[in-house]
Amino acid sequence: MDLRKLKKLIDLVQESGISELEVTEGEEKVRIAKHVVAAPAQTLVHVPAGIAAAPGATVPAAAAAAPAAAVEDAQPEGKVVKSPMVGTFYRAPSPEAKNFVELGQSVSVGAPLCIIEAMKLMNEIDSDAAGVVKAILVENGQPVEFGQPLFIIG
Amino acid sequence: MINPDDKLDGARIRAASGLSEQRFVLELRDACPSTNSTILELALPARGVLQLLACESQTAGRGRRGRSWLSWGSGSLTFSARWQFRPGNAAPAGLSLAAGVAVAQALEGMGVRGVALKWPNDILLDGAKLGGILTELATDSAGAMSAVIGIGLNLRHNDTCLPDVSIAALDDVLQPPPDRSALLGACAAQLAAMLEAFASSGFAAYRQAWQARNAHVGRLVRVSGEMGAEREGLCVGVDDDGAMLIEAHGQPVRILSGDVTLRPA
Repeated sequence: MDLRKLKKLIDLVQESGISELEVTEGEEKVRIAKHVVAAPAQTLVHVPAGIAAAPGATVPAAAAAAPAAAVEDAQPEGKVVKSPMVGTFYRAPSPEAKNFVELGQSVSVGAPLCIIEAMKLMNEIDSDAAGVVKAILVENGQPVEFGQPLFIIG
Repeated sequence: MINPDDKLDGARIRAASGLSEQRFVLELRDACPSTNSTILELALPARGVLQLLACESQTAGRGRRGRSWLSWGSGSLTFSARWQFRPGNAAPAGLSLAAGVAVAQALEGMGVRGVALKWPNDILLDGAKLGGILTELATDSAGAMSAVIGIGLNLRHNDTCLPDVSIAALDDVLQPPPDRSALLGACAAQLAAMLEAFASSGFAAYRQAWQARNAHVGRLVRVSGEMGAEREGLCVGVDDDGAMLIEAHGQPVRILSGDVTLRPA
């Protein structure tokens, strides 16, 4: 990994709410950690999609303050609905509207769960499984990465 | 009210588009709640076919995140275009920006000068808002992904509203404003060409054309998010995927969502 890329990654971590970033590229692995004193400020910055797609590269924004492993342990079983793109996660069609779904609610296949927006492209994410909303893994208005788990439907 | 001479005419729209029936299907309605919602009720077009729904009057036009979009008969043009992507195609990042370029090129082809784009896809005329675009992705139960691009353009100022310097209309620069059917046909032609190019090479093919029309290049901008977060920086341009690039404290920052305004001096 060249120094320019490394510097860009450090800058991204510094400016974002991410406390830790690990990127694997071939046999090289880079881990950048930041000591966060206060709660991380919300940010509009996203890690570029190409980097975010690397295995183990991201910590979900909503879980940034807690150890990632603990969050994964606590996840209920079920179908994980993931974000198909980098963007901002919205639980309702507009700021005044009711959320598409709430925790514990039953959903059928095709039921809208959330909207991911990037650059005014609104991507409505529908449930591809029938069941109960067992977990909502991202907070409204938070940035999400490509492939980041959003919901668990079980 | 629609002046009968101004009513959208399918034959004139198709002639102006230069597109055959194999590449372009058109539906005209007198009224509908929102062209973006109504077009989803039509049969999904085959891949490679541009589907377009235009409406003389929208009763519940929508903008970004539930904002309303006003249209006023023949003083405005509101329509939606729908295009089916190949199955398994990644979410088409930057499509909304490329749509802005297509509309700008259609306007320029009609002799409109001074068209610029505000990130991501507002259409400005001499700094005021001439049109807006709302792009929505829909995936059906079979996994087919289609994009719906809703476009609203102001042709004449709305006499029933108070004058507003932040709103532009084509009759600011062209008297009379362009014929609506000819303008819609020109937009269809540019959108079909854009969507074909986008399907094979993504936003990168439109990046330069977008940057050439960047209303805020070299200006200090403020980006506000729905949750109150704000960033400021110098607008540098856009990235290969359409993300806005600003320079803040000497560092490049990518912006993917939020409302952009010029920072007050």
